[in-house]
Amino acid sequence: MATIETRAERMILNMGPHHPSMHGVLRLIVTLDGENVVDCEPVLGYLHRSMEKIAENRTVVQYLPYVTRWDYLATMFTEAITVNAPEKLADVPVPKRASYIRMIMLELSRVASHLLWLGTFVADIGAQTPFFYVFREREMIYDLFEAATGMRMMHNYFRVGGVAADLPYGWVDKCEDFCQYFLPKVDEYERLITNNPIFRRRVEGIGTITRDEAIAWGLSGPMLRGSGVQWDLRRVDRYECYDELDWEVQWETAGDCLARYFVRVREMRESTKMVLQCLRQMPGGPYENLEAQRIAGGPKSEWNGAEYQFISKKPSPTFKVPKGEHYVRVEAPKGELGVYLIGEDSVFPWRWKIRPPGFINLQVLPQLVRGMKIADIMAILGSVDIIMGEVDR
Amino acid sequence: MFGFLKQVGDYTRDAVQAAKYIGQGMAVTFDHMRRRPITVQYPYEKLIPSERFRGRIHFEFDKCISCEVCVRVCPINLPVVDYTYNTTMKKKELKSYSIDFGVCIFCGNCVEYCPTNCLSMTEEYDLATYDRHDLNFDNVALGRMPYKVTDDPMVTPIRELTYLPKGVMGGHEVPHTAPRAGKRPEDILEEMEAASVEMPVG
Repeated sequence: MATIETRAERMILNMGPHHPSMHGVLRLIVTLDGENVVDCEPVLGYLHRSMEKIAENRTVVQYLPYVTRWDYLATMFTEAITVNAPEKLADVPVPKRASYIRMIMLELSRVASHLLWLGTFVADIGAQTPFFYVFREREMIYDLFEAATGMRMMHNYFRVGGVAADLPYGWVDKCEDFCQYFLPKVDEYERLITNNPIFRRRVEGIGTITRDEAIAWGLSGPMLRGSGVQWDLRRVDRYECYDELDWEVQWETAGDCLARYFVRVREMRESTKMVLQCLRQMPGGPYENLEAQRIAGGPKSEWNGAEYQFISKKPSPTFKVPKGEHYVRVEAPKGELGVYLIGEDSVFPWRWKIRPPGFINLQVLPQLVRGMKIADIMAILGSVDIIMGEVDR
Repeated sequence: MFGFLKQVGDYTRDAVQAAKYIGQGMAVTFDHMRRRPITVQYPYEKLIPSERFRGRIHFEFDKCISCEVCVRVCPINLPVVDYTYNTTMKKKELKSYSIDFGVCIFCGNCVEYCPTNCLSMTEEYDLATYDRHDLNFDNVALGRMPYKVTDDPMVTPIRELTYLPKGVMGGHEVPHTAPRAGKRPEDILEEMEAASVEMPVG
């Protein structure tokens, strides 16, 4: 399109750290040419709490309450990785039932995270209505979490070797209720958002990243899958019991904000279906059933076997991280959440390196916003889905 | 000429599409007029905290053996256990115990690892004070029982999702005394026995 040459003087604009669409305390120094973004430099560290250093003088039991403060919207994943790292290093077995409970919790947490992402993403673009609908459903997930773990967000539920407690009475029934209730609600969001012409104009073709670039930048999660890479650690690493479920990796090829939106919305559906499968396949079924079987079968019954426990052995407060080092990762809603752990046969880990997905995904932001309009920064940043708690740690 | 007509046609089609999709979206919005709000009118209505809710910690002085496990599992070694070693009885004697709830994050590690169960978590969650030093609870304050939502005549108690009957999604739809979802293990046992009686063995 022919435009009149109106090259204005460059303007340096400071966005954040207290801008409402900065998702916490991210600061962007944006260089503008009129309304066009010439460059952008993210400034991090406003929420830095030295989580890695804190880990170096905490036992695993002591450190577990901290980790939900990394990514405070997908709290179960941070707990999962915190117990997986020492678990794998020390070869602690996880009972199958515990693994299923973990999967249910993880997938519910993924739905909760994507829900909040959806709310803030469209709110950044200017649609406030879905934000409230999304919170209504998220609240139900948190009610489920509260009943099982005792806290809505700071669960402290995962343990080395299993989970802290079995599911309470009636939990499985209500979780199933929620899943059945939730699936039509996703359709409702889609009716409200997906084809809305204003939304489409704001996100289609915005913040495009190609397949090769996405891989080269080290992106993960929906950022990577939105660019046409079928990379899901649940498939790749086969951790927990994800192999026993019937599910598809959700992906898109366009690589723009809309593609990432589609990936996440479909992942919500897929996760809900996975929760439903887990509820049906869980060894022992609901806890009340398991308890009845145990009463009927007596102390020697198979229902008291290792498969049906929620934890293999209660971790001792002086659980020692064995000597050795390794990298463990899970597929968090934002991408690959990993921990590089070095143990030296002491109760404290020698090094606890966190690989947060948001931090790595945020790197690509300057490239994505370059050449775009200033209003697109919100759409692009929203679609990257960062949580400053895990970016700065 | 045809280009102009095509432009007009495209524009009209876009406008009609936009109107259709916005109408579709508004239908969702207007559909909410026939739904009940899920908002809990807080001081008048209160949610009943779940059974496992981790609120203010309750402490029983007489059960405590001053082993200090709670201190060791606490992320910040918060509980203050003040004891002397009684040489005649050859036992630790607890003098005082305190937890500062201005610093506590209610992770529940102390409760989980307490060997004598002298610690427990209550359903009390509103601990606001005018002075933060008031939050430093000593063993007397820790021994007080929590305030219960269901005992307050001014408050309408509301059940959380997990404690509602099967199929009910809102706490406003049923009274808080409605039985929760899921069977009791006794009932499952009875059903199992009834089934085994009906089915001839062998």
